[in-house]
Amino acid sequence: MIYIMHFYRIFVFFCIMAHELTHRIYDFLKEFPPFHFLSKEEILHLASQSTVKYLQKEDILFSIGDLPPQRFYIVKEGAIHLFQSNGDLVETCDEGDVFGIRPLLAHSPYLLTAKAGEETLLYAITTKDFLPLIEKYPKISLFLATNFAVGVGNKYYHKNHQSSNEISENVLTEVVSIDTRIKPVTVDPAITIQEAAQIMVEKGVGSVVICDPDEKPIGIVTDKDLRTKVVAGDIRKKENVTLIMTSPVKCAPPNQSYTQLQMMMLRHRISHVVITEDGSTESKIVGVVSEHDLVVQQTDSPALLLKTILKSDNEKQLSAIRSKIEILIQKWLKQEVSIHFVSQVVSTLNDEIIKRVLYLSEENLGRETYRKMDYCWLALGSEGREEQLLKTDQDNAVIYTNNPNIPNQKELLINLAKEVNRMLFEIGFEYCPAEMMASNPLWCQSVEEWQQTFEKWIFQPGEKEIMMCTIFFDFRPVYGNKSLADSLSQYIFELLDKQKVFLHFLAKNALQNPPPLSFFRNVIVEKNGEHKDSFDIKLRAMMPLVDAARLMILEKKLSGINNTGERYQALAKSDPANAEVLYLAADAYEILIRIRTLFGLRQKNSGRYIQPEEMDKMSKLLLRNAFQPIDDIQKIIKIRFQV
Amino acid sequence: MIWNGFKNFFGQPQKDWATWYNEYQKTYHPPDKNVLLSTLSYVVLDTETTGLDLKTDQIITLGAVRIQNQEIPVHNVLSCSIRQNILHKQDAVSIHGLVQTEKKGVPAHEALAMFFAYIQSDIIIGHHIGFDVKMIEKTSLHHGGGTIKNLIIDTSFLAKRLDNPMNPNSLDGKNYSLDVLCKRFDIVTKDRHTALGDAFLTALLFIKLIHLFEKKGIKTLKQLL
Repeated sequence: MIYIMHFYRIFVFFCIMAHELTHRIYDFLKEFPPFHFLSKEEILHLASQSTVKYLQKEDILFSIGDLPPQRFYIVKEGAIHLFQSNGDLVETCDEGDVFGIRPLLAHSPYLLTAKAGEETLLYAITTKDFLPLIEKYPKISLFLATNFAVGVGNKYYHKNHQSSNEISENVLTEVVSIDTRIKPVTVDPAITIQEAAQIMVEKGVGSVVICDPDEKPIGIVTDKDLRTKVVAGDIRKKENVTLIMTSPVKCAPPNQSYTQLQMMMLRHRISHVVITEDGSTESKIVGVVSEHDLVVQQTDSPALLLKTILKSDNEKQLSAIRSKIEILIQKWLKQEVSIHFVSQVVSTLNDEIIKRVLYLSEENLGRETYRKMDYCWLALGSEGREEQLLKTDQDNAVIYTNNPNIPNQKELLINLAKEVNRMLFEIGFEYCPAEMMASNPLWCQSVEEWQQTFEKWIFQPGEKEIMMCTIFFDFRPVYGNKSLADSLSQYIFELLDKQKVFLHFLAKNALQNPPPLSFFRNVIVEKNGEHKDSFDIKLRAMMPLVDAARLMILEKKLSGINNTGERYQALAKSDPANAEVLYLAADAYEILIRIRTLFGLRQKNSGRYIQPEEMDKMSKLLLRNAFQPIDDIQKIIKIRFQV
Repeated sequence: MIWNGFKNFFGQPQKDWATWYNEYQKTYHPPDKNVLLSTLSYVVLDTETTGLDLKTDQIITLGAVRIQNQEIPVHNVLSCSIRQNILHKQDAVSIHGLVQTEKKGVPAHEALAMFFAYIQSDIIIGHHIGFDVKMIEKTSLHHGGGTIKNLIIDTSFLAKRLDNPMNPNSLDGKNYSLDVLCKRFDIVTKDRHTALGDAFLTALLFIKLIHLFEKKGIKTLKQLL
């Protein structure tokens, strides 16, 4: 009860639809994903239909197998713990975290039990009002997909796999230009399937749009329809084309951004979007954009960069190219292009730079001398794993076949390596502080010497030897005779066969850094030194996944796969029992690279140390979700290698 | 105003209740006192008034939230302003430079109709609720209604009972204001000063108090009262 002074009575209050309680909830919701994507009116509506729920510590909100009511939750205050049936804590949700939404989208019972870790206040949001918004805002489905991606592993995500792992706050302005000079291939609904197929072959297109006389799109037939419905299916070629068309077609207006179109394709699981004058099926067709067109458009610039690399004559030109690559990375990360694609393109370009540097160095020092030699330039560490998105330290080595005709071969190769290291430094790749570079005589060795080195490491594994192995096992041939690297791999597998206990040591090493369990409550940050109060994403999150992947790859003797994400993919295929966890680990690693790269680009360094307070809620969420697979993978290793 | 009350009190026979009060009376049924506290339905109430004098002051706004299954549904709240009939127009102009030309809010009898339809048979909760109830009943009597039949529980009394079950009224009232109790029970008091805002805070306080009573083994209305 509030006492109002007498003369205030002239202020007359009236009934308001959106009352202060709604506004209070609105003020909270608007700060957190996925609500912050919505308009004020939409959030107010959700708030007005919400329910406030209070839980005491230990209160159970829902249990595994319960059918979800038509609502999901966001934590206002306190913390909710989500448990698996075996009692393992999967996730802790605290202020601003959304949970309990997956079963509503998948129409399935709860897979986890939710229990209050402390006194907790929740807002329950009705699904009925929220579902239409998922349709309206692709970013929400993306957010939800990534939210389920790791930790609370879910199939929903894998369907959207290409949709990548982080939502950029930036407005994406890049517009896909539709070349309207080229008329889209349209056909009459009266023709047969065979006729449509012939038109596609003649015009060299992957799709035809079936249009009415006013050029309004009725349906679309793609080459995939022909393959699945006619060739592999039981529809005959003489039938009417409308029998196999997809109708109605998904349309968009001209001048859509790359991301908008990509999202549209992902969301509707389609490969073609028809562009019409006003974006509806009720206006004239302007063009057709396929998934392939989008890919071509985005790979256009790397192709150009590649050409320029091959034409470069000095480190200055190469340095300029490397800077352009960085801009490209930044652009792609903002466009939510999958990390897998980005790393592939970037390591290809990096490799080309290294190859060009080697070529130029050979020229500078006397090409004739080096042409007689049988050697191979190896990339190590993250470059070896094709995960080097930013300019980090250079780690490299040389392996060569002893040639009795060239007595000073090692010396010549070291000279070459010095020149290469110097040029790479000029281009922007820092020298390795531990001198793990081919110019170091220790890492410029003949085949026999390398064999002895690995033999020593594997048969007398001390702390230092194990560490060397973690760096050198990820070698990848970049330039020269690649078969030297391949036979070294084979030799290593043979050694490991003889010395099985070595993997046990490697396993121990891989378990050195357990993942932080809760990043929010107890932020694991560096206690002292230059990086005080920041989170070492490399040591605490990425290395454990990298080490685990390498270990399991060595155990399975899968050579030639260096990329950590690809390693987990390969492992998942060869180990169906643990496939789910292994796929999640692959996803988690992608997320980690993305976060690290974004931080690195922002801070203009390697991005290794990140400041939790500078992360937005979304990145924090993604980061925390990435910890769970680390824990799961480490559990598998503990059992398998009996550590 | 006084004339209205006079007319209501003497001029109309008791049986001719206002329709809204009749509806309320017909459907009202007392709660089962053996049912668990956590399963009962409550209406948490707060009013804003022009002052503390029962005779001369009036209700400006009525705010109420419902507690069902330990939850507060945001779409099921009552927030209603009553149109003020007495206007000190000249004072208002001289003090604020405003002229009260349009009348906002709903007439008192409409507000009462909404209120009685809202409370149904739920138990009424409030902080120092006695005064609010008296103000509503006074207004109700003026407009052809009657008293509130619902069970009424004061959260300040509950908090005192929790601390001193034997002699709750011996405790110093200033330690049991809504502000002090919210602080004590970790309830964020963001937008006080509105009836609905305060009703919401009181509702959170009440839910927390009920949990504490449950821990002490007091689980039904019968045990609580």
